[in-house]
Amino acid sequence: MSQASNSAESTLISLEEQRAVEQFLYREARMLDDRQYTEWLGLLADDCTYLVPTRENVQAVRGKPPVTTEDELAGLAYYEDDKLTLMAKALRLGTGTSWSENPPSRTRRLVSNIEVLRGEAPDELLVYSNLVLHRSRRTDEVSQFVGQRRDVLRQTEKGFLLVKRVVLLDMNICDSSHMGNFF
Amino acid sequence: MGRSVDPSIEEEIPGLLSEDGTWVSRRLFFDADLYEIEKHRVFARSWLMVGHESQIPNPGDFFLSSMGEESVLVVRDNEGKVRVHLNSCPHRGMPVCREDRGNTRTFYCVYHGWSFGRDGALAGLPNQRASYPKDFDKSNLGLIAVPRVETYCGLIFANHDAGAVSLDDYLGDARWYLDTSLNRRAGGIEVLGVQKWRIGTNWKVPAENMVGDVAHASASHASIFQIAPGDPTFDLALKSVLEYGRNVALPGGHGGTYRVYPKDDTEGRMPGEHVIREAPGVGEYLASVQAEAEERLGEVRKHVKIATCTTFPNLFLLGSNFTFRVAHPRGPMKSELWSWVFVDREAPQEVKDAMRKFYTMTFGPGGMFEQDDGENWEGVTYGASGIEASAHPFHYGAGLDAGPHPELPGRVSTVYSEHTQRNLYLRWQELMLQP
Ligand code: FES
Ligand SMILES: [Fe+2]
Repeated sequence: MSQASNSAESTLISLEEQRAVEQFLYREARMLDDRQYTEWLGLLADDCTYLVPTRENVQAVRGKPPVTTEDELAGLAYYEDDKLTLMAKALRLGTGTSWSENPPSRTRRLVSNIEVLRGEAPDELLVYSNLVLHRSRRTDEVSQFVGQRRDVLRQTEKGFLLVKRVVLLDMNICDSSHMGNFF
Repeated sequence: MGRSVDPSIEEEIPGLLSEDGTWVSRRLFFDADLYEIEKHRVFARSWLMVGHESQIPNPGDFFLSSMGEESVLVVRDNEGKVRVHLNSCPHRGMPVCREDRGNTRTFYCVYHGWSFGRDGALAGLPNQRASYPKDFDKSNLGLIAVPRVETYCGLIFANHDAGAVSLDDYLGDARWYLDTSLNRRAGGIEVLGVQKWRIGTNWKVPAENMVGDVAHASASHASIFQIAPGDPTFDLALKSVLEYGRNVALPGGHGGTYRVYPKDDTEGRMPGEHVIREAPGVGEYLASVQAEAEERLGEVRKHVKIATCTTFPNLFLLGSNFTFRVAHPRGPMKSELWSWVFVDREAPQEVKDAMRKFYTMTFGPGGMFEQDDGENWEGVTYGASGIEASAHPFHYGAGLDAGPHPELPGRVSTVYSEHTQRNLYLRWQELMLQP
C-alpha cells in the first residue's frame, strides 16, 4: 500500500468527512466489542479483503536507509481473508461451540490517530488509524494487540463500507494460543 | 536454562508409564525436573527439524530457528552447504544474529565486534595484534557448529549427537508416509513462513494430538461442522473417517492418522477438501499432476493421505492443510509453535495462493480450527498440574486392535485408537531411561 503523501491536495478532507469516518470506526469497534458479529459483517463490502501479516525482525544495513514496515513483512499472514471467509469466522463465533471464544473474551478496542486521505477511486477514502485491542479472557489472562490499520472505505448510499483492511500488528511472536478476535 | 535436578527422580522414570503405555503419569506434562532431563535425553539426541531449504536458496541466505530452547542460526555457505550453528558468540555468548532472516557475508557480533563467515569460521577479530600473539590460533573460535545436519525432502534436520544414526534411519518408515505430501512431484515443495505463537502447554500435548487424536475432532471442532450444515461433502468426509482412516504407530515414536482411500477414488474426502478443490485452478491442478504423483508414489501410496502426523519428538505435518510445524519447548508448561505452509514448487501461483489462504483460514492462532486446539492444550496442561490431580495418571487405553497390515508399514488400527500415543510415550520413556 502506498505511503501517505504530505501534499495538501491529498489531505483535502472536509471536517464532516473526517467526523463521519471517526464515527464509522468507533461504531465498528463498539459492534465488535459488543459481539454483534452479524451487524459487523454488514459493514464489509462484498469485495472486502482483510490482511494481518506477520512481522519479522530485520536489521538495517550500515549506511543504508532505516528498516521500513514493508521490509518486515514475511509473506505468511495470520489472517488473509475475504468477505466469505470473514463470514465463516464470524458465524463460527455464534455457534456456541467455538470453545476459544466460549465463554467469550471481553475486548476493548481503542482507535486513535485517525488520518483520512483521498483514496485511489473517487468514492474511496484511505484511512490510517492506530488500534489497541485489550482483551481479558478466562479468569486472569490479559492480552494486548497493538498496531496500525490501513483501511480503504467506500462511500455508498448506505454509508461507508470497508473495502480493504491491512492490520500491521507490532508483535513478532503472538503471545497467545488464540488471536481470533477481529482487529 | 540449565538447572540441577533431584537425582531421586531417576528412580521414578520407570513408573511414569504402565508397561504397555496405557497409563501415563500427569507429571510428563508439567514437571520441571522431567523437563530438565528431557533437554539432555530427548532434545539433545533427536533429529530436530529447523526449517526448509527453500527458505535459503542462495549462498549467505540465513534464518533463525530453534533446537529445543536454544536459538540456532541456519545458513547456506559459499559451497551451497547448509550449516547450523548455535546463535551464541564463542567469545561471551552474545547472539550473533538478531534478525529472523536475511542474506549476509558475515555475522557480526555487536558486543565486541568479532565476525564470522558463512561457514562459521572466525573471520575478524578487532585489536587482534594488541590482544593476542602473532601465531594466535583462531580455528577453534568459530561459531559452535551443530555436528549433524541432514535433509529430507528439503526439510533441514539437525542433531547435537555426533554419533546419532543417519536421518534416513531415524525417520525409517515415517518417510514412506511423509512422501505422500512432500514428494508428489519431481520439483518438490517450497515453503512460506513463519507463523509463531506461544501456548501455555507442554510440547507433548500437541505431539500426542497430532500423532493420531481423531477422537477430539467432533467435540473440539464442532463449530466448523455447524457452520457447514447439511453440506453433503462434509458429511461424507466425517462418515468416511471410520471407514478409511488408519492410525499407524512406527518405530522411534513416530506415527499419525492417515486416510487410505479406495483404489478407484482420486477425488479425496478429507474434511474440508472440497472447499480447497473448488478454489480457482486447484481442482484442475491436482488432476493434472495426479499421474506424476502416482508414478512417484506407486500403487499403494497413491491412495494414502496424511491427516495429521508426528515425527518424534516435535515435528507435525497436516496433509490437507498444507502445513508442517514444530512445538519448541519453552518451559515445562509453555511451547512456541512455528508453522510453515508448503506447496508444490512447480504449482501455478494461483494454486499456491489458494492453498496458503486455505491454511490461514483454518490453522494458526487466527485459524478456525487451531484456536480451539490451543484452548484444549492449555487446559490439559493446567488440569494435569494440580497436586491432587497429578496423582491420577491419564488413561491411553482406547483401541487395542492395532497390528500389522498387508500394505501399510507400522502397526495399524482404525482411528479411534490411542496406540500411536502409547507408542510416542513408550519411546519418550526409553530415551529418558538412558543417562
Ligand atoms: S560476545 Fe561476541 S565479540 Fe564478545
Ligand atoms: Fe484439532
